[in-house]
Amino acid sequence: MSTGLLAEDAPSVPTRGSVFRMRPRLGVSAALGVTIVGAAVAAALIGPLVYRVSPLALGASQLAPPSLTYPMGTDNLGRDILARFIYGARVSLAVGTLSALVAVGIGSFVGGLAGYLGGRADFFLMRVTEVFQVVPLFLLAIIIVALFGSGQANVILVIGILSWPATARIARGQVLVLREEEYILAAKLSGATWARILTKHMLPNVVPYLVVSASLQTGSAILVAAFLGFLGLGDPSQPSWGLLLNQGQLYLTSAWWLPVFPGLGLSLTILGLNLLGDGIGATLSQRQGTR
Amino acid sequence: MRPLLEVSDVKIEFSHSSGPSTAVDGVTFDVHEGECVGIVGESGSGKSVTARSVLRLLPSAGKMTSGRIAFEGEDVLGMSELRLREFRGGDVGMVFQDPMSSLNPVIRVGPQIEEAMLYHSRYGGQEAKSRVVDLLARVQVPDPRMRSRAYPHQLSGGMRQRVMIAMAYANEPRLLIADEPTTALDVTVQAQILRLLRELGREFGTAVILITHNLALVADLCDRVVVMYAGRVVEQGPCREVISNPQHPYTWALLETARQMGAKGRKLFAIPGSPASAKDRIHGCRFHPRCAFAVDRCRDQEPPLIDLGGGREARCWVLMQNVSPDLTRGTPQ
Amino acid sequence: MNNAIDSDSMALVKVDNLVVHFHLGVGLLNAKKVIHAVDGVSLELESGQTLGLVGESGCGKSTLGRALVGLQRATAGRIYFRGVDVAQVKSKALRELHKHIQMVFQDPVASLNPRMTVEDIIGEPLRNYRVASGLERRSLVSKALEACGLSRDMMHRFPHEFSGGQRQRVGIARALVLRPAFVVCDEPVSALDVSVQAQILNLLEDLQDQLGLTYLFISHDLAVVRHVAHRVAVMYLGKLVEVAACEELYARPLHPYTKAMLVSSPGLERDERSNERALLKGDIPSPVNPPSGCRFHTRCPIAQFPKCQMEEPPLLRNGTDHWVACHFPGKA
Repeated sequence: MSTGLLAEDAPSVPTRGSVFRMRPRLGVSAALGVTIVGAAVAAALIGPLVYRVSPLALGASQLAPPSLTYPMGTDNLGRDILARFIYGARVSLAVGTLSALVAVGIGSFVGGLAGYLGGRADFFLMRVTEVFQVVPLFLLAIIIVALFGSGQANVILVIGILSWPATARIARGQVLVLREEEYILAAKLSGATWARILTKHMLPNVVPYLVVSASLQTGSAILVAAFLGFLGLGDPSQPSWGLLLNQGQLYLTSAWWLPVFPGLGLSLTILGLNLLGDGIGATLSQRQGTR
Repeated sequence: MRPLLEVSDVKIEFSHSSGPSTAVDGVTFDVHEGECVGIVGESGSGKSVTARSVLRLLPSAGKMTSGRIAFEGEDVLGMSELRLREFRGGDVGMVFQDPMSSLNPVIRVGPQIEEAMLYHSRYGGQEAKSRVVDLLARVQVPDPRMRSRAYPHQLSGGMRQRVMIAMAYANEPRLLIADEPTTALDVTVQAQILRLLRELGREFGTAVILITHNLALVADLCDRVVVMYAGRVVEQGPCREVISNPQHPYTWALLETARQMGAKGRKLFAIPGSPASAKDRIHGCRFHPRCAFAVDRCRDQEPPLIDLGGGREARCWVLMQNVSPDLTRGTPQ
Repeated sequence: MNNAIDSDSMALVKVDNLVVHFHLGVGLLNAKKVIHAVDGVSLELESGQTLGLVGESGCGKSTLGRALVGLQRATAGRIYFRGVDVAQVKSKALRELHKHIQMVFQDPVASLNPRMTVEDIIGEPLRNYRVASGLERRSLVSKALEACGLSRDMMHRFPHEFSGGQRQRVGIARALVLRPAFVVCDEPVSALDVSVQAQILNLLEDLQDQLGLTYLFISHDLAVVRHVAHRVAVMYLGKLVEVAACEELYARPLHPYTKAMLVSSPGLERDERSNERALLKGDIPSPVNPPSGCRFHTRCPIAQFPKCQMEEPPLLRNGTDHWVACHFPGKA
């Protein structure tokens, strides 16, 4: 039922939604990515309901090592690390996801427009993109947060506004490819305006790539936010993983559970997001290959 | 005399997430020394997969589940890695459809041909270089010395295909497998390339397997033809005879379509439906849903290959020789 | 607007000296390369007829097709549709034009949006031109499907669920749903299996009879063109080398290139066996740097110097409805 050299292969074009249907052949890494991210999200959402300990409550037992009562130990003020860890997961994931959404939102718009319009508009938009790319993200983030305060909204905006170039390039690349596709030409012949072509015809075919980008962006956003928190520039009232690291760094040798658990949380979550992004990317290129 | 290549009851499967699917379902044919055999089929016939399996070039998802492939009596599947490397490119050469994807774009063509020779330690150094120029001249590349220094993208499609052929013949193989070698080329270039393949085959005494969807090409070039449909061989025999007197309805239909296409007159004879592949579950004869001459038995039982004598076989209960002539004249769509 | 109305012509479509050049190369240092895709082509298409346009890669036939449909801007020349010059129309006027001029694409896989249902794909023109909505639109779509040999329950399925031949039928249904007068068919059967090609050709012919369509049928396959076309034009490197009524061209090819193509085409009924002499040497030159004089002289078996190298032969009449651009027509 399909054309092509090895006609016996699977259908050459993805079905609606099938890009996200995980196939056993997808590989260990992608499956691992899903598991880890899934666990992090679950922890963030359900954690506080299951483990009903306040992350802010001061306690008598200070710097207690991990035990049955305190699975991740307590910190210097007697606060339960596990509770703070779960809360931190919420904060980090929220900040990461929202920043990524801002970044992908801006990036896909700019990149998509550049790719579609071509010519001088493309040239101009790409130069703008490069300007943003050249700016060192961490440095600027530090400066802006230091100047304008460390509320979460600020952090999200800063990261979002500075990370969109990566998505812009991906979106532009994909739109450039799609522009010459016969079905896009056919859409033009069917009287579609450029707005309709972008939204109805191109966008659905670009979205999978944007999802990959979003996944990777979330990972790096979490890292940047954590870094800011580590430097003490994050929101001090919210126990984010970065903040926990900041508070825990003094105790690395004496009470290792303070920095190690949030550190692990960060590493694993970012790793998981990267694996997830790679996994979806691999599915996409597999599908392109059989076309 | 023992055939050069024996393909016996080969079955090939591909694994998918939804389970394995059959691509080739029991294919048997032989190729003798110096012979040119055409394998003809459309999408889903399994012809390319069969050809690649001879060189054990199946993609990782593909696997030969049963059958035997023997080259000069030697079992190809049992070959060690070392022997396989000698075999590929040495005993058997291959020319693919799209020369651009078979040539390394960042290496000049001369060194690529040399490399093909190097692996088989026939020639080296200066001798190799001059042999490359010789080969390019043999495949009718004008100005071969200069052309050997060119990168693939600097050459036209026809030229690149000639380079591929030169590479394939570099080690004087006993067998050449050409998988749709001219499909991507222009018509006037196609004719040149095909004539070249025929001449080289005769000159080197190489047997050739030509895989194509175009029966007309086979008619001009080949000694024998094997027609495949849905992963099976449905007819085989000496080329001239099969084409002038096809016994399987599918072969007959293909020829009829081609014949009418090149002539004038409204309403072409067309085979209804689409070509089936081995993984489609069709009960009985795989071609029967599209066959104009099917009878009840065709629906119930798959026919075996029936020996028609004179090296001819056809997989059909009815056989064209038993079909009344007025049924074949002006067959409706 | 510069709409020159050519009231003399009875033809539905008249192409007058069409030129399409692509400019490559940016920067001050690189010499600007120009691809002479179409270099002065003039044609006429009568209503209800099929003009076959044949040629090999680089000849410009696809570019010409796209220019006629408005997907490619013409560099110079005129395209008259029903007497009105549409070569330089843009945006709104161009959208209007697409109600009357449509295209069937070569690749049945690439020409359908994989994420749209068949109903959406065929309904797209109806939607964009506000021809119909809701139930009425659905009804028109299912009529189009049935006219193209497909069943209405395919409406809710996606392209990948169908075979190449079925997908091509969907593409044809989409092109015809607005009842255009003129359809450019760009290699409509080249990507299909042989056994399916005949079905699609029959369909195109039936639709032409039913709807009074005019086709420009672009193909590299001479056997296919012979079957469908009333008249045939042969292109080489951006120029027309021969134009004639179909049977006349196949029976009495005058240009050496036409002759060579006929001889090289597998599957054509030939009176004599393959003529080794007529096989061409060399490959097709690049359209960036076409040869001087007659563009075909570098491969021509009967080229004579210096004439063929210096002088470009004009397209001249040679018999009733037979035109050829050659200094020595019929001598090959």
